[in-house]
Amino acid sequence: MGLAEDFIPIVIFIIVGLMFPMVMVFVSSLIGRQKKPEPDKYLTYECGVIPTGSAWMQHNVEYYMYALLFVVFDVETVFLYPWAVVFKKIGIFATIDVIIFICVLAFGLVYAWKKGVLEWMNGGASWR
Amino acid sequence: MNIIVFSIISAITILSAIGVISSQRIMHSVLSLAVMLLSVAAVYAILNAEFLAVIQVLVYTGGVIVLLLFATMLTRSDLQLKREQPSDIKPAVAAASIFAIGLLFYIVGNNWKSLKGPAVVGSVKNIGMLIFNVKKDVIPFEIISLVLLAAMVGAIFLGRKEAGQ
Amino acid sequence: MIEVTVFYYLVLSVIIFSIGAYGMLSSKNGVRLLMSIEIMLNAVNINLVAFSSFQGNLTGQVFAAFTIAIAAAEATVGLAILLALYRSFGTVNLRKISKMRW
Repeated sequence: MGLAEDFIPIVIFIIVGLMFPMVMVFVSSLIGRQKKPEPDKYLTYECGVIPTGSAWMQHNVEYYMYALLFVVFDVETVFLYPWAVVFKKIGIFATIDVIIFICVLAFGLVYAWKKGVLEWMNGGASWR
Repeated sequence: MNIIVFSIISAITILSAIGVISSQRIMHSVLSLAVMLLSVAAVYAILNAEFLAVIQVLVYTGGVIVLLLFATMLTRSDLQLKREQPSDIKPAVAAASIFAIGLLFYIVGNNWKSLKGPAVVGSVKNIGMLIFNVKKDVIPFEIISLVLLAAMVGAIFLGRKEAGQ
Repeated sequence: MIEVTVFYYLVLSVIIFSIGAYGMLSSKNGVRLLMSIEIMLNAVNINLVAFSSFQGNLTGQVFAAFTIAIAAAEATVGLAILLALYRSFGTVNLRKISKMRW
């Protein structure tokens, strides 16, 4: 029964990826220990702007719109991979199918464009 | 070897699924859902369903989790700042456990010995030959595009609806 | 050494599905309800892929791929509905969203 040996590199990769930051944090806490850090040390950006307000603010709905378009076209791309792999064997009919598939989703992209989803709020779009 | 790997992966899956429904803050449960989806991808991988493992990572962890994170950030509510007290647990526990016990009785009552091992590799090529085979799955494939179009248009419409006010 | 038969996958799937069903019935937060639905869909997918893989028939995996696409569409629309509700009611607490007209 095949637990594919192909996945052993991925497992090693995950283990190394988990160990690496742990070891780094551990070693830096070991050798870089300061007795009493200055208060500036605790800022989010030590040499940058001083953060204001909470992260629990109300974000713009544009972010959601971008994620939405991303998910839809992500699914489209995922279904195009198998077609690209079997493209030579499968004949012209499948190509026509894929073109129809892309055209239907392109219609959705046109709709999103017309509704101004692709424009940011302060970029002149009238909706929010 | 196989049983050990399967046990580890299913333990991670079950624990992170419990984490989704039991963690107090909604952001923690989104992250726990990400772990759960990744371990379901690992389950697909040990079932030799390579294509599904990849699209599980691409679509769910790459897309749906981002969507959930943005939706969580957009709907700041009292439930996320305070700790959520689950109410009326009892009917939910009853329904879920009745369901689980019934299904487990059915599963234990049958003999699954005749089905042996992962007998087929769900590689991209094999899946592609099936999806784009004219006699098999082309029509569902086309309908998927319509479903995605409807979802996109509907979600944009809903997100935009109250814009003028 | 115990062989991993399809039985184990079915038990795993039942456990995850029940966790998802419990979460769906008990959660007050709408985002968490949608996450519970995703958990249930994943449990069903494990079932489909396990049977497909053990029977040597790839149709189940194609079906699972379609299910994943549908689940992405469902999450998109569900979260958009939730955002629209949040705009109207100012909360995603499903126990408080009970007015029919406002």
